[in-house]
Amino acid sequence: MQFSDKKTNLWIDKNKLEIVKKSFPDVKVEEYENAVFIHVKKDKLIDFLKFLKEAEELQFKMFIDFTCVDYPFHTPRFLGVYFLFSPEFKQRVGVKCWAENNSLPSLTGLWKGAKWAEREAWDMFGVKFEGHENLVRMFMWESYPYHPLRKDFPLEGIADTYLPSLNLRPDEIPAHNYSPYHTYVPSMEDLEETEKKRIQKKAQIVLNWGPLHPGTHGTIWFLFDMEGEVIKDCDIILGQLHRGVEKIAETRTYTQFIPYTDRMDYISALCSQVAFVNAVEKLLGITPPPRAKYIRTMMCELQRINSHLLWLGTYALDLGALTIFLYAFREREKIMDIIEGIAGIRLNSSYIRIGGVAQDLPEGALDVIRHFIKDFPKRLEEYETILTKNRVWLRRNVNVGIINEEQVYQYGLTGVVARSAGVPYDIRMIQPTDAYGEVDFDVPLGKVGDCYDRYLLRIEEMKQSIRIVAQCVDKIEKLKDKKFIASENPYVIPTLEEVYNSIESMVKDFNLRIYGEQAPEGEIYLSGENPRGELGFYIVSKGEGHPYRLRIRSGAFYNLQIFPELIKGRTVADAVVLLGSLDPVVGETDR
Amino acid sequence: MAIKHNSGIILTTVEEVLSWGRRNSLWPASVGLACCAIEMMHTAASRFDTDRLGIIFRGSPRQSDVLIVAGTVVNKVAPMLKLIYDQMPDPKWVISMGGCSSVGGPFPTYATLQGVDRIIPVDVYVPGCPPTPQALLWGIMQLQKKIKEKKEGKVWEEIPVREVPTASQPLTEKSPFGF
Repeated sequence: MQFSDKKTNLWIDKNKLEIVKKSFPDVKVEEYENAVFIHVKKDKLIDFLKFLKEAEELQFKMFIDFTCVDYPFHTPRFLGVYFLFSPEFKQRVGVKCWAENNSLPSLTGLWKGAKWAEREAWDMFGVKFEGHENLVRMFMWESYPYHPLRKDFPLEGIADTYLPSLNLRPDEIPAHNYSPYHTYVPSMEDLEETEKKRIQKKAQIVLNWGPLHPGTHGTIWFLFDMEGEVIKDCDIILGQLHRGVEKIAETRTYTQFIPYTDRMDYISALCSQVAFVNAVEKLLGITPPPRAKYIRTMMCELQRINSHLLWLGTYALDLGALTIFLYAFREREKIMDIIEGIAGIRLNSSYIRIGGVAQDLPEGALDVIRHFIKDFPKRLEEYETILTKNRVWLRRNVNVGIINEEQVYQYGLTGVVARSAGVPYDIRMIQPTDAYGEVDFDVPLGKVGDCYDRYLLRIEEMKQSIRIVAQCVDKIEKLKDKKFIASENPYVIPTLEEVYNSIESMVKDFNLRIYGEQAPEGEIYLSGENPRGELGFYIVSKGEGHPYRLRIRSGAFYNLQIFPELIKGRTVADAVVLLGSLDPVVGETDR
Repeated sequence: MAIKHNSGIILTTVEEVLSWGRRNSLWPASVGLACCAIEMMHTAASRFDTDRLGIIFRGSPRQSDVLIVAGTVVNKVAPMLKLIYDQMPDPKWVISMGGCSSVGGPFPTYATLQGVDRIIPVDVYVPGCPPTPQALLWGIMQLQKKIKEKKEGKVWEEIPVREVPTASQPLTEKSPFGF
């Protein structure tokens, strides 16, 4: 089967590069197969980015991501990498700039979305930003002395505190890797200091919401400066689930990192795996067989329904409708059973492999899925009957948290949040991976951009996902090729059957598992459409078995950033609605 | 141990009654940290329905008896988790759900607490990444058993170990393998 040659490379084309070179003759262009970067000097960076943003022929006005890469043996040491997107021409561009004297100019004047990304770079690398309004740590606490993503900082941290296990009795032999010494755990004073640096009390009272509150969908910590019931100022403290996933990636092989992508966005594990594996496959030059492509797309869409159902259940629960929570979880259990039957694990199913999927669909899987997609639209109708025209639901949702198109570009909003403002930004459409180019589906767009629009969009997306799953089931049944992994490729770990039956496969399996996939030198940025927004992976490979640097562009991280702006002048009751409709997952925002 | 008379009277001790009440109305604090919290929600929702075991999730630590540590505990959230534990009234129990909260799990990093038992004492460890709702129910039943037996420290089912001959005991006719 031939997959159609739709435009899959989103990077800036030659004509536009010429325009750039005409205005800025001393820039250097660095081209890879799936990434194009422009090197700029630090003193010209702001002018250059302003030109990219405002020039008529370019219009790179959407902020996608900013990160740093550490090169310890280079002076200056840190390299800042910016990603921009042009919604007009559907093209991406990367801009690189060396941070001389460990500092870069702040971009918050051009894009408000750079605020948190720059805080993160300061926290993780210790790069300062001139002109940043409040450069505090993003994930760690304020008195933390290190910058953990630097190459000279060990993964395990520095164990300087005596913190033995309280459960260990004197007569017990501890595990082999048990040490009573541990990294420093902050005290409440440390956290108070962190809080005070974030927000200056101007109104009546500073209210803490979270971090361990059932309404915050995890461990997000909100600070509200309040005048009566009205919120005057707001800031968010993240990092209550910062586990150091990006640092772990630098010590794991590409296959070993797949389970960590599950645990980042744990509600949509399969979508995260597919986004990561697609990036690695492009880097290694692997094409998975058609059956694997359809299976991936089908599983992704099932996971999307699953994710939106959890959102619907908890969102309704936050607004006081317990019934929907129980109904949504009934349907979720059915999808979880399907995923468990196919992948073997309910939640964090590491099912996708580099080059295909872990195993073929079991017998009867397609029948079960077909039964589910026949039954599910009726259930969805039930939910809509309860909610869509409910007077309480309308009062709580309509005209709350209105997002406009300009804010989408300013903050780099993606996913349903961007589409509710009428921006047709869907990675499945503009850069179709796997079998998305082969199936037929619509991308719903909002008109107002409020919470009610986002509710309608997610319900509509579930219906579209059902359409995609139905098409995939039909296609998989007709496929004669039963191959589910491209194991003839030198980078793909062979199946168990092949390992047991041939010595070559056994040697290959051993090499790949011990030394990893020796990816060629190069860089890549590729993203996938997660239920929460664009999940991008920027991989820098130095020809080793593990990535030199792996940056995760999290959709929820950027979507959450608009929360303080939208909540100003509204009440605390709206904060619950707004947070629910932005739908962040802390595992992905904090990584 | 209750003694039942023919006339319909049951004799027991105050401790027994208290223990019976406690183990059948374990109210956990609804604290979710990471992936395990999703499975905890599934345990409480329609299919597994912990309400039938008397387990009702409470929004306040002051009303809770059990703290289910569901998810990765990182260094930054550890003092707050300890605060919640301190706010719970006695008697209180802790279930450590999943590999992350038990020993650090797959995250041996600078930011992660390597086992929640370094800050609060744990009664039951539930293995899994994440544990299925069935596994969490198993953990809750182990806790009920522990409350019933009022044992200090760890309680687990004793698995009988078969004796294997060592080097000092040369293989004889009496060896369990019979050669």
